Amino acid sequence: MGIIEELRGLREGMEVIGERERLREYISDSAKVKVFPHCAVFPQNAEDVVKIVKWANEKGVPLIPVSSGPPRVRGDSTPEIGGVVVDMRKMKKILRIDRRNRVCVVEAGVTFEELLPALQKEGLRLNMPVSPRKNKSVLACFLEREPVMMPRYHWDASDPLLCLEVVFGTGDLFRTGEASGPFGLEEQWKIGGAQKFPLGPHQVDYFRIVQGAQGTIGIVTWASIKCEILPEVREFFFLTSDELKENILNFIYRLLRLDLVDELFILNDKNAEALYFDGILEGMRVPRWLICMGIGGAGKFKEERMNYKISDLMDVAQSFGVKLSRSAGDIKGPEFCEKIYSPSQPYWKFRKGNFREIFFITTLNRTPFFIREFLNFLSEEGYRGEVGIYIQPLVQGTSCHLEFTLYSQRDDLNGIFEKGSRFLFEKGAFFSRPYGIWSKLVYSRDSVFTESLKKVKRIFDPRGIMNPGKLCF
Amino acid sequence: MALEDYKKDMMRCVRCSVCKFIPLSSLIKSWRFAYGCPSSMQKHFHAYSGGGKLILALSFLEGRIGYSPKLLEVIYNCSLCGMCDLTCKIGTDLEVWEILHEFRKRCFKDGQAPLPGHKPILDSLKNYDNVWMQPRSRRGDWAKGINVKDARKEKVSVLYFAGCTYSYEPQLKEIARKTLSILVESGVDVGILGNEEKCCSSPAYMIGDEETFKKYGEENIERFNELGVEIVLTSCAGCYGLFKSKYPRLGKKMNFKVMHSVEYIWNLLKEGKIKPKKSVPISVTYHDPCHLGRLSEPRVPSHGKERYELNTLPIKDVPKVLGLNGVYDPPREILKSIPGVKFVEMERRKEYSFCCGSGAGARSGFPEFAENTALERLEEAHSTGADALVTACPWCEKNFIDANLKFNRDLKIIDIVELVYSSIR
Amino acid sequence: MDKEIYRIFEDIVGPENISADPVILETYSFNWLTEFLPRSAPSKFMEHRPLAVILPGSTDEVQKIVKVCNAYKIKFKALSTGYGSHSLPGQENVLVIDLKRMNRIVEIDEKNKFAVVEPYVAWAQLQAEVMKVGLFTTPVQAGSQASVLANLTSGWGMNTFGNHGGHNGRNVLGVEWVLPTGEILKLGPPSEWFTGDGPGPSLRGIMRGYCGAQGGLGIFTKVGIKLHNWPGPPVLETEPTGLISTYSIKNLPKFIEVLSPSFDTYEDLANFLYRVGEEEIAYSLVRVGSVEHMMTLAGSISNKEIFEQFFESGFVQAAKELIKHPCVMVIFGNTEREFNFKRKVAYEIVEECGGKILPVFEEGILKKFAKEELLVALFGNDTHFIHHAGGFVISAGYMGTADAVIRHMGYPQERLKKKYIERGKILADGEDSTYHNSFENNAYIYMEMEFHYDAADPLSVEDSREAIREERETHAEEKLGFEPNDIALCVGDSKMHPAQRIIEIGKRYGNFHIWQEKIKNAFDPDDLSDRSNYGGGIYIKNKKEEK
Repeated sequence: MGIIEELRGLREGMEVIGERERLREYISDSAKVKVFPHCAVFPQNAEDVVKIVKWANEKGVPLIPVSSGPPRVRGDSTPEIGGVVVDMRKMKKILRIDRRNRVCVVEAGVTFEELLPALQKEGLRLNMPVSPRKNKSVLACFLEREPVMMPRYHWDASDPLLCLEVVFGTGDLFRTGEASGPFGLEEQWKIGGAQKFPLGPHQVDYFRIVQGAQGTIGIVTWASIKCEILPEVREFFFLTSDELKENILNFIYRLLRLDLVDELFILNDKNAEALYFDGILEGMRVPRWLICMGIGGAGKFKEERMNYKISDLMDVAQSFGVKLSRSAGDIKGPEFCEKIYSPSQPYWKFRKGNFREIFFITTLNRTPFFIREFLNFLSEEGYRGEVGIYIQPLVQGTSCHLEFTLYSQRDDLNGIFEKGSRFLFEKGAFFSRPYGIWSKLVYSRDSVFTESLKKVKRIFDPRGIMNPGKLCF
Repeated sequence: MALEDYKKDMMRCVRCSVCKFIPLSSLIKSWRFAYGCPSSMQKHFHAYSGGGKLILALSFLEGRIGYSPKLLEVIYNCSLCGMCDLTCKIGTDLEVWEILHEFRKRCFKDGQAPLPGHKPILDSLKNYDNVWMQPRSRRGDWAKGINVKDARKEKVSVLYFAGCTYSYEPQLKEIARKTLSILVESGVDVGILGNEEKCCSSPAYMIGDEETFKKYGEENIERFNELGVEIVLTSCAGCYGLFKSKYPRLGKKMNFKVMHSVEYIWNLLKEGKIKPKKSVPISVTYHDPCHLGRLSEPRVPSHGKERYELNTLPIKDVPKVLGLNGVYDPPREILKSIPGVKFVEMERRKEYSFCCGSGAGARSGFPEFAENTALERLEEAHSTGADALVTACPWCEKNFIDANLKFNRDLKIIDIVELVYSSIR
Repeated sequence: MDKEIYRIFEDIVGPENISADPVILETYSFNWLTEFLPRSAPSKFMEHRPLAVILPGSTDEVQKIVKVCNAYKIKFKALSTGYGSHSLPGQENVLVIDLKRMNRIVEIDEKNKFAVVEPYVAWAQLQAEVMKVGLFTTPVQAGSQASVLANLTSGWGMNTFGNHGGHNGRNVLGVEWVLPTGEILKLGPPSEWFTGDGPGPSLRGIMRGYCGAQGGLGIFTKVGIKLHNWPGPPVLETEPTGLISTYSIKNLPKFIEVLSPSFDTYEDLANFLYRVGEEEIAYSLVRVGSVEHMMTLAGSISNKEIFEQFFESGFVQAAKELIKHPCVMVIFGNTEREFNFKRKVAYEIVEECGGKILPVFEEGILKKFAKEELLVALFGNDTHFIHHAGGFVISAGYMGTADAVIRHMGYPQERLKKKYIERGKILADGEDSTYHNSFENNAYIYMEMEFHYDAADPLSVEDSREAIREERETHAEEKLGFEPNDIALCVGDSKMHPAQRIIEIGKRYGNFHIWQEKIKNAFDPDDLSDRSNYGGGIYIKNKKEEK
């Protein structure tokens, strides 16, 4: 029996596709060598996933979990050596939205486009990335520790991901954190549980091993995700500048200290253009740098909250000698807010054509150094394209995500991407999310860490069937 | 009065390590000066902390360990400063200091003490009634030339008790002289016992020699009562602490009040009987001696007597004394009243003052420990930026002076009386 | 220990920093909760003394020690401030590695709000230093004397300011970790501390979970901790009060207030917790049980005064009628506006939820239970105040939502507590001695039920063990959920060895005990890092050895 037949045989009605053209969507455009999966299977529930994984163990067949729709820019869900794509997009249930506990539980296939309106109805929102693509899986996004816009709600690098249900590479079904037991979700809800506390059970944070693993440890079927209250009133402010001077960074640091604003991030003009103007720029005024700040309020005290926060914000701005405005050039606050919270399709960066991203974690005060160095590097390399820059403070300001987006139709994007990545790595960039060549860079440097990760891999996926070729596996 | 009495307290230690630090987060002002226990700071093993010694006492009572050189070293490599007792009592009723002292008494009783370094002290007491192996006949020499009443011959209301160290130590005699001069010149009805003065027996008491303590204690109380003095006034914190907090345990009525010279001098200043006229331009910090501070407050040991309330709340029918009511304000007020003196506090002060390291036989038994403890305190004093470290105890002074020399530090060590004396003349 | 091997250790740390003298070893055989471990009769001493105790002064020395242990197959266990039986070796022939000499604050990054510390930095030490630069660190629940590093890496992570500052298990940044095999694993970038996650999966997940490995997976030598803003003075000035509060703070931050809202029902209390979380107004929100229980915790006065002033006087009896479910909330404002807003909201939502704010700081006997006492207790509690008679243990508890916590705090616990109080061998501090504190704008609540017993009374110890057993079984039978808190403290009960209880609970929670065993075998193949408090493996191992 062939693979497809065996998979179909796991459960009556199990959907499996094998046509090459349909499998093309699983290949990343950026992959140097484009390897097609053998087929793709579409589980409907956790039992299906367990069966698939157990089958794969028996047969030694690689599995590549996928929960989002295309395009696949980073290559984490693209097969390296063939195998079977486990496409989780049919598991699309929003299992629960709990306004009281400010949490939702979603299956792997639920996208931002589906979840955000459902949350909105309940008066909730997510701490989420800037305008993710519409067909992006919410769960996958947070499994990848994508940067989120509101550092003050980012208590831990793992937020807002909480508890998971995962099928490990062994085929064992496991739930993490507060969800770990002793019974299923329904009974937990009956006793008032809401899968909020992510740690454990006992002496291991299983969810942390799965998060960031690019599907190499197991397949997540659902996750609970922390939600925040949706503002009923909100304002957006900008600080604009031609350069990222020290006092601007100090101003941002002060905001982070005071937990004063909700959304807080920095975009340069190129990214702001792509995000706001749908790529159409003629005659538009966009400042070189935009420091974006949002304040919101909900409920009985919303107006008073807004009033004190805005007043305090203005006082802080004055103390640093900076001026805030509700617009940045031709960018208007309310519309900007709308844009950042609306999933985009195609993903907003595509509005400028092809692009490659290089991103890593550092601290806010080191961003000017990296920016200066990288722009010099690009200049020396004769790069002719545009560079989008996005700086996102994370974990309540203890670190930040720095992202360069290379927008170019004329340069060898892949070549510049590789060279640029190496350059930044040598300068001290920490690629905490090591896609593609970044894995080779990071894992070759620290053998103890790499060996330790391999030990973990051997425990949860002893046969090495989960997304082989990724990370250091 | 036995170590066994406190077995329950030993069992109630929770090994939280609070005893290694000064109390409470809001008192710790820096990483550097957070430690409270000199023994634990230097030796590190848990055994050396207050809690560690409680554990050892329990272990000893349960027969798990017996006497050994290491046990004796751990017990005695400690100045019995009482910091551990204070920090523990912020949250519990455990009588840490009593247990540590009882353990020493037990060592004595079982013939395991005195340690070689302590034997000369006891021999000196036996032979000379002082701890410095000096002839009795010269005890009163320090006061030569001062026109003071002989309390043996005339009734006085205040007996000035110099103590062994101020009587004999060449570097420090002057302090007793200056103190006495201040008293005489301000018209205080004061007298001294001259060479009839005997040691208070604090060193013997602290190393666990109950018998010697009883002998001297009872004799001294009887003598002071006989003299009919109203106040026994001393400049030595060691003597003061023993008179005030330990002599009452002897069960003999004490028909006199005990005061330290800083208290008396502060009264004189308040009453205008002495006036600081001259400016003494110096920046100083003040070291609270343990026996003038937290260990001076009288406390009644429970000897383990307790009852239960609320099922398991053990109630001791004696007040819990933390040492909050030691002599802290008078020296500070004195310093503030002297023109030109700029006073800055150390971080560890008052009831949580860090020990000088010389008490309870530590200096004679473990000189290196005493030196290093003094050095720690000198460094703290130095960190304030002050030119001088002021204190009110000869043992502290001696230990600081010696550490200054040994470690090549240039901090001035001054007795508080010297500043008063300079200013009123 | 073999003389030659001892000499090798001496060469590493110096002869003054290692000892195998029984006098030294005894003090590493005694701890809080040792009496709770399963023995024929309770004892304050562990069954086994350590092999020796060694004091390394640096990561380099720690690594050398661990490598020697690997070479000669010597088991080891590290501790720092070492509060609780879980910090001691639970089997024989274990070298104790006391990290007391490793007490440096390595770095304070004021801009990026984190500090890096070695194992023996006590919370109060770090707090004093970070306050100088306008920062604050979440107080370790084990007390101001307890190790920050241990709280983050190896213990639990509970703290009293979690509502604003988060759970300390989530405040971990970079980590330096000497693995059981002797390699040094750095979590985060090679020489930086601002993150401990990645590259790829976060090995923080192996380091700890709900609680830490408690010595079973090697030794942590440095940790980065996330800090928070401190709107108060750089140095706190205090003065003794001589009353209940031993010290009061003279220069409190300007915009700070401590409130004690009280509610008549658990449901009202739960609603209040939710509302406080939504409005994001509390810096700290804790509940110390009923007023009866609260009054037993005024540790800075004597037990005698506690009894006379609060119980014998009739105060508690009268107060109980009026005050059902009190809690303590601290509000901070960085500015006057912020403070006024939060204060206004606090008062309004207390009313909204049917509660009242107790005038505790204005009148009567509770005036003594002053604002400063609570602040000091919350700021940096010196946790030994919970030990009236050296005996304190928590049952079960829960980490979850306010609604679920309320269900735990309700009558099942009280029914049990009442029964054991009536038996006369645990502290009669009221049926409701549930402590709770909340995290991250009340995103989740931690709750534990407290039993105070007399560590010096074997009958009291036995009854507490029996009470814990019954509580655990009730917890499971009545499906109260989330039992892993039961085993976090690694104490047994009258029926089961702690490791056995872990296995028994593990079976209901995804067989986590099996996964932990695999992790242990992978990272410590020679089983050298004392496994007594890691998973349930020691129980299985002991059983195998018995056979």
